[in-house]
Amino acid sequence: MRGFPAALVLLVLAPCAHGAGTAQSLVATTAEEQGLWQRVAEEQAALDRSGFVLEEPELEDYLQAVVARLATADGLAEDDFSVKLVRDPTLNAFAYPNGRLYIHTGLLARMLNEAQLASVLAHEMTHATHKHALKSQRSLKTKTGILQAISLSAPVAGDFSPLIDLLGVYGTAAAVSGYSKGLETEADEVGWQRMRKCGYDTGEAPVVFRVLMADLSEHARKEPFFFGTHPKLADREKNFARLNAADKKHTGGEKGEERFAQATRRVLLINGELEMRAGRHDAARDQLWRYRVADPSSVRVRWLIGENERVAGAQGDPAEARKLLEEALAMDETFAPAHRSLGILLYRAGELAAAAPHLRRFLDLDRTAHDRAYIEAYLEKCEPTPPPAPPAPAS
Amino acid sequence: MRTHASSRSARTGVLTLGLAALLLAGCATVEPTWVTDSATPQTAKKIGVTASVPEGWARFTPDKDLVMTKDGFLLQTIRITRRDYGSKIENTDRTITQGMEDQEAAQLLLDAFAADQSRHNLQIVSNTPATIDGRPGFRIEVTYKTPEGLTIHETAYVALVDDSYVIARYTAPDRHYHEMHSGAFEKVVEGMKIGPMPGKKG
Ligand SMILES: [Zn+2]
Repeated sequence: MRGFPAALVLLVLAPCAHGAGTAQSLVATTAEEQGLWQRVAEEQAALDRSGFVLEEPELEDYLQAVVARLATADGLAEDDFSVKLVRDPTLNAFAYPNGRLYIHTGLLARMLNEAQLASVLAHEMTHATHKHALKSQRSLKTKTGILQAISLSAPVAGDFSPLIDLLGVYGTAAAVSGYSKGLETEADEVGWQRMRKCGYDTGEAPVVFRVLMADLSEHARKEPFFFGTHPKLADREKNFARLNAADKKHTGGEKGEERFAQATRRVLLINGELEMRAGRHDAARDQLWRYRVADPSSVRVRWLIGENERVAGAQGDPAEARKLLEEALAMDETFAPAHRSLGILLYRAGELAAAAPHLRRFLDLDRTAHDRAYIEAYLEKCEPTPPPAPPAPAS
Repeated sequence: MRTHASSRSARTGVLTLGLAALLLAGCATVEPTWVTDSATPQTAKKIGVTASVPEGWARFTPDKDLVMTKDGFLLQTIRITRRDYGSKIENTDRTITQGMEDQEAAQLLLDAFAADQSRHNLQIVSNTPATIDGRPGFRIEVTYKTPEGLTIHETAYVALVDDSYVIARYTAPDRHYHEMHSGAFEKVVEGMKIGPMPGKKG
């Protein structure tokens, strides 16, 4: 996201009722806890190197500012918390005991304002401040806990899952897949209070979980993670609605709609593509169009919307695909992916003469395309090679 | 259920051959046996596919698929499976459908690999159309790192057969092990015979 003004970050920080006195720090106090922190540091390092963690400094700054605002409002050391964005279209956010938070692009792309984001981040921060990982590690040491951990780590049996990655025993799995109901409720309650102290509209907390539930039901989607499971979402929604109902003095609060939209719009572009590649064409369509409205001059988003309509098959709109791909190329004739998409679309529609120049241009523009061999084969069908010229007479 | 890569910490270290076999089979009640006869082609009756075990390798049975290794699954694995069109591909909501173009099916698989958080830093080595036992299909080759940092090299052939599709995959740690046995894998695929899917009316 280019040109995200630093002033916006300051604005997020500004309206906080700062807790008096010294900020409370996250510390691993016992050897047991230090061991846990060491393990999670290793997990984090692996995740950070995995290629799944996005490097989007301005976006990270924004998320960081929201977390800092929540922390300082409750007298916590803001530097103890950091947020990273995971390139994944599924719904999840998780926190490690050392204050590192991760949020999936899929979750962020479905939120509508900063208050909704704050409700999730505040919930996650509470898992760290209230030592939920440590508590759940202790309960895992009971026999049933171990059995549960083993059954959870049963090898993924899919035909396309890695063959050499068969045995994993959950270490800090709960961070990712959720804690016990009691701990989760505590995270809702403390998170809600932190949100309120910051002046956020707590009415948005149940709303975000309703939005996520509706999204899951609408597409009959099954997801593996905490914020992607209907009962877990229903629990959050119920808890937050209960807290709001008991809060008689509640008078609105800040939503931070515009600030959120401006700071996170790039997530729509990134996650929209992930949705498309995962075959969630309706979600891709929704997110990519939202991005297009926010950034009307983007060539890439035109290509992605067009490509999404092209690959969606029966759910797609080939005419729309063609229109958008042509538009993208009218804006930037050197944008190779649009030539590829349009060339393949025309080729499959039987318009071989129209397909050929696009396929050829794609191959010229992208010399390292991994699917070159297929495109060359299509091209051969579009423009059959003339018989070789007779050899020149020897001089 | 897909597990999150970062949740796979406390590993038990080296996976023993027997345990891996047990896990692969997903069945603890039948004694695992090993077939080392490389002279007689092996047929996996449940999937209707026949292939030869490379010399010095062993086929693990009972398994409905054809699973082979030489020194243990951690060091090299060949696995041949068969799937119905329309079944969901892991980590996506997508399916390979009957009549799908090779290019599109290959892209779909590569997208699914890229979305899998147990494959870190996925790199596409090659992606080409291929003919397998006379059937159209494709061959993709990728490398990636396991969450523990081991680089894996994987080659997959997919044959788009009339009634279903057949997948032959070869996985080994990159460089040494992969290079040492990739020839054996290519020979297995070359000699592979695909019959009709058992239980399906042709
Ligand atoms: Zn939670």
